[in-house]
Amino acid sequence: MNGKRQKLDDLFIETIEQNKTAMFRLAYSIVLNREDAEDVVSESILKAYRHLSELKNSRKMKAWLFQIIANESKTCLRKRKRVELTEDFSAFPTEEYVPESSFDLLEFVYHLNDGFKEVILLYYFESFRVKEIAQILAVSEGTVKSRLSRARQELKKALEDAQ
Amino acid sequence: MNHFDKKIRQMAKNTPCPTSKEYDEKFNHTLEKIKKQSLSASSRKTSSFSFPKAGIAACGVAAFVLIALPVSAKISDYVKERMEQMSDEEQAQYTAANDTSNMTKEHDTEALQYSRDLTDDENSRYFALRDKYWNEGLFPEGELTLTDRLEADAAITAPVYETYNREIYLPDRTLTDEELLQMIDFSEKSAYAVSQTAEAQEIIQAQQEFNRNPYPDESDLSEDEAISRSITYFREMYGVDCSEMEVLCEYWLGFGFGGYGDYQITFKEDDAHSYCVNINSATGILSNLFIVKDGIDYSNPPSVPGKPDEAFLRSNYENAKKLMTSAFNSDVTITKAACSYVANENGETETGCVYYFIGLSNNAMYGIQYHIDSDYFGYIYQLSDQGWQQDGTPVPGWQMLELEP
Repeated sequence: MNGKRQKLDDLFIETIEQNKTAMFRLAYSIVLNREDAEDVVSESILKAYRHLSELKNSRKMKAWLFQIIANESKTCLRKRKRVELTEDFSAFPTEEYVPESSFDLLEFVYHLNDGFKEVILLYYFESFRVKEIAQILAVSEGTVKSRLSRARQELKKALEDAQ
Repeated sequence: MNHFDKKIRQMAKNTPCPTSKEYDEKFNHTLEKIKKQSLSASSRKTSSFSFPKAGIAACGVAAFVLIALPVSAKISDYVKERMEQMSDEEQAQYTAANDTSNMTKEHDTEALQYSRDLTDDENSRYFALRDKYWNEGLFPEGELTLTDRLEADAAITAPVYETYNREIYLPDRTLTDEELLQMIDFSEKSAYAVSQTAEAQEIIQAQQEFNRNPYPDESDLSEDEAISRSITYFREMYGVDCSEMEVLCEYWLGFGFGGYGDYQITFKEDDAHSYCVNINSATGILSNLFIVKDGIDYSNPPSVPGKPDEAFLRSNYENAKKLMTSAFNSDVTITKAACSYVANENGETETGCVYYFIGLSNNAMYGIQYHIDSDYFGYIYQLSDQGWQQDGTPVPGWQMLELEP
């Protein structure tokens, strides 16, 4: 192994250690099953490591890793056939979100419909930009913007209701 | 970013996401597996240090930047201080030992090699000690022995570095922690010393410049060709002559399996009219196209509810088809097509647009956004498999009109 690859490995390990929780959060938001999300993260890490030499831009390692997690999560869904892939459903929650005594942002996000959850998580929790989110989720920037806009309205409403 | 977004980001930062014990165990198990694989590979050629290939090729210079700026988060003040304490003579010794002159020649070599594989126990101690070296300032008491050339029958009783072959000869017995630390120290000092040379600095600067202004590979589509193709796209697809317009060509590095970069070419007619296209530099494939017309950015949905009419959408497909066929001439044929949108109870689409999904015989698939209100196709983007499910049936919740390819 040469020095370049060794450093890449070190950076990879550092990235997954730093994003342990965030990776689970993204996988869980898509598969909505704790055990499956755990498996998706493990599989994604191993898959990413196998393909590490194909990553051209190491500065984008986190986005690349999240792209793999999003893809693996969707594959997991397809295998389970419990939930279907959607492109642009309504942003309204799958089950109505009922705020508890204090507003739980993560719970609110998990109640959003497929497609919207990932966008909100990546935008607000991971601070990715619209262009990056579009690449991670393999959708257009327009789709990301529209989902953000509609989910933002829902979020405003939920926050007002919680107050 | 507006005030609301800032507030939500702050809220997100403060939102806990506890993970289960099972997840922690699985995660740690996976991490250990990766570390072991990484270590096992590194033990064969153990340094974090290598000579890049000649020239200023992007892939070659990266190695040196990583040497000079090695995972900066991990370089503690301890290590920094230790490196900076090296005298000029000491630096010169490490540089010479590592044959710096080869770094700008055609010389694809690994800097350090071991005479035998490290055992599992040595591997795991090496890794743990390296962490302590970096993060706790745990350094060896002595230094690795260096020699120009070992005698053929020399007895190896302790690790020794031979400059001639750039190889560390190891004794058959188990290495002690002190010896492993000496090897780590040698590797780090070598990397630092070489990174301080004028040649390395030059390469680092070239890499930094590349990061600021990335450029495509030599075998990729040239900028002139990309601009020429863009002019053709807008002429053939929209009947717009961009050849005399102000043009801005940027290059963006992408990511993903295989990696790629896009030329983003923007032709500006005036403040309210511009034409932008992204072309993959490696494949030459159109990846994105949008238009700003009369001040409207057509890459965004208009958010003015519109009521699509099925008969009209079917007839309008001819226009979508014409766009794609004029983009690709006769190089490809359309293999599948559909028009899709999400409608509310009144039959209106709230985003004010519908999408034509067109699959081509070269396996590329495109979405074409149609603004109902403006009667305009101003945004085309390459996509993976949206629009259809794996089995080819429409996505639930969508109005999906299958169209004749």
